[in-house]
Amino acid sequence: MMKKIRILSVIVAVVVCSFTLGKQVTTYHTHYTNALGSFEDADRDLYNKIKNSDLASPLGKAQVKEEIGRARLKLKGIDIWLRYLEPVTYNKINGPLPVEWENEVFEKFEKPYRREGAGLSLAQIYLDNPVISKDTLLRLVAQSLTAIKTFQADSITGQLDTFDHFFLANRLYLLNLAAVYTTSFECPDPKNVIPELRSMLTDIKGIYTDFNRSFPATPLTKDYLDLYDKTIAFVNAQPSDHTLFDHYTFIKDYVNPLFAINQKLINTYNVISKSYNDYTLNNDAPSIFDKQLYTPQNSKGIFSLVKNPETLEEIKHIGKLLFYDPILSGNNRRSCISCHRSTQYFTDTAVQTSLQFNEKERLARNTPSLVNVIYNHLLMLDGKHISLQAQGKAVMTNPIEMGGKEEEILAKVLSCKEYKTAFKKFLKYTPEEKNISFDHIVSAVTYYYSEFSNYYAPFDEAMNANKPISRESVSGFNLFMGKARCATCHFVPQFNGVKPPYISSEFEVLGVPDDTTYQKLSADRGRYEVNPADETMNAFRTGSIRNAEYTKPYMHNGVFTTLEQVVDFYDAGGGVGKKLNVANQTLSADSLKLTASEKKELISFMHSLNEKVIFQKPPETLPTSSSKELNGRKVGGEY
Amino acid sequence: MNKRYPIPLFLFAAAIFMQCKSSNKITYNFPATLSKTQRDELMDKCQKGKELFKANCSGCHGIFTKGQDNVPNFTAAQIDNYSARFLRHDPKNHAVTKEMSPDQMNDVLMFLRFRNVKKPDNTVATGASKKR
Repeated sequence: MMKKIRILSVIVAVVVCSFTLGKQVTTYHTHYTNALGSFEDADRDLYNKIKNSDLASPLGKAQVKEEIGRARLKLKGIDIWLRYLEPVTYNKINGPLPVEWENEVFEKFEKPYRREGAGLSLAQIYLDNPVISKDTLLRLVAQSLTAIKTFQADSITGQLDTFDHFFLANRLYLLNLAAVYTTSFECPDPKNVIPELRSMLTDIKGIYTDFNRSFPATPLTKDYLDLYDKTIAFVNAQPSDHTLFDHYTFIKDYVNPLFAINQKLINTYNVISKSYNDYTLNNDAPSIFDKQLYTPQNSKGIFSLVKNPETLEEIKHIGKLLFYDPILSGNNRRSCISCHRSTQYFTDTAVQTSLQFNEKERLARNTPSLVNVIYNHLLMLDGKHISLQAQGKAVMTNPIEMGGKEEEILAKVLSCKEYKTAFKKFLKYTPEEKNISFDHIVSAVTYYYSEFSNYYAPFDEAMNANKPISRESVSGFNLFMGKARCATCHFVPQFNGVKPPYISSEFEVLGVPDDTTYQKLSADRGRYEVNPADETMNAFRTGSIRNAEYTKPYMHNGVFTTLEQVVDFYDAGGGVGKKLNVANQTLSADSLKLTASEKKELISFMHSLNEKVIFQKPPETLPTSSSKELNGRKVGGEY
Repeated sequence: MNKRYPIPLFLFAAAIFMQCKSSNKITYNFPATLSKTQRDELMDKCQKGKELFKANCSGCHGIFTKGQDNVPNFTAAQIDNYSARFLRHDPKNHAVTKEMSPDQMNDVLMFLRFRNVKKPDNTVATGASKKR
């Protein structure tokens, strides 16, 4: 009997041992577990501190703030992981706004959804409100504590046992270093931006070391680690005030070269993504300022599967003719070029807003430049359309814009021999379509104009090839990222509302006035028209500031005609700063207190984003139609 | 005299039979709750999806659930997975799905999801899953 028990216990011991030995936990994984645990502790301390403090007293408030600061530093040390591994849950811990409407690329398949609460950053903002609700603060922090539990789940930690996620998470980290971490985007107290950055850079170094120890076959290379050390040294030598930080050198000489090495490693190690964080990111882009960094809108539409370069050139040629051809409008007198002028970066700089179809009234919104429009995931200022083709169709058939009808446009286009022959030829590349359709027409147009988005500006060349730009522009960029807070909405590298991982388009409420007398707010409800909610009233999609010098007027209603006016508007704190009543303004109402020379520098930076686009001459003639009344139409239309 | 009829009749019947078989008409299994317009729209998508599938996928996957060896045929779960992967641009995925426009990919998925799979030979369909 005893012997049996002894044997049994030996067997049990062996089995237990083999289990624990088989599941070897790497140093890297342990680092994650410990660091997450220590953040959880700090977050729980914060919870208790709030619970036991008198928030009405300055001392109590200061103590809670200190505790938030401590928890934030712990968070920064694992930000590289959390943000990548589960971005939705991450926002319960840290984020810029109380309520965010997610408009990810998935909107192509899903409706936008509402997301509430952003734990630590919000708690700090609410702490500065005149009336503080302890319950609200506790709820926010409790939410972040629950969120931490998610990051302890096997489904998430399992990824830590292979190397793939690491290089992708690191890529997102580097993109955020360029676009978010050095701005006050998610940091309620701008004083803490640089101290938090320093602490983060050092903590991540520890993760790098443990990763290389645990994955010796696929390490971060020496050149990467050396440059990373230099990055830390650079940041430590910089002033602690983020408005004095040299963002330009930080990105150009450190972050972007680190990104290039990381991209190389992703390719060398054949890293495979399992996360939608990487959906749009391109492994082959060697620079953050490469236009291929993320997948833009699909410009080919129905011709997506066409690869033959000659055919593509022919499609482009037809697209160009159509772009200038008023045959696409209801009265054969308006073309795309009527509003999107090729001599003016495909916008109309002469008018506040363009004429309506009836030739009398004016449209409500300013014509956007088509250059770089492909880098938005949602189109139109209210984000109504998810594809270039849907947008193009809507304009052609809008009774107050081009006033056409699908079938009529199709019939008129096909009455021209040149179009008909060409589209017949293209038809064999779209076997799913039995006949030439409106989609063929629209896709040729979108394919044509999208090529003008592939050019670079002096600022890109400075980042990509070290070609110098003026000192004034460099100072302007540093202001843009720091004191002027522009970069908290206009993100690197497109300087539009698309932030890493570049899968969504953001909307903001600025309080844009109806006219420059600031008597009343513009009546345009913006995003509300598409997605009605308290937060979306008067919200508009953040546009790019590339080519701003050449694409006046500015704002959704074209209310400003100079960049000076635009800068003044932001400097004053938007609509609220100008004493307008805007309940949900997302722009801070505080004055930026920019000096006259700082404003000049900002504008000089914007000028460095003027792209060297090569525009084309209009076609000399348009295809001849079999119906005579169509043959009087003018290239580009009449109004 | 009577003996002569059966042969041409048989040939005629066989011809009709072959005709039916070779046309391989695909039917679809749409939810009953759809309105006429919704049904027509979906049908249009499925037809386009069928053509895209034929041109770009059927080389390996086959079109009547008879894929080549080791090439998966599509169950509902696999279609969902495929769709999700397309959304994510999984690098393991076939290049052609990345080249398709979202609309085109959607058409293909609609086709796969709603087509009524006629299994001319049941053993083929089940046999494939047994192999794994």
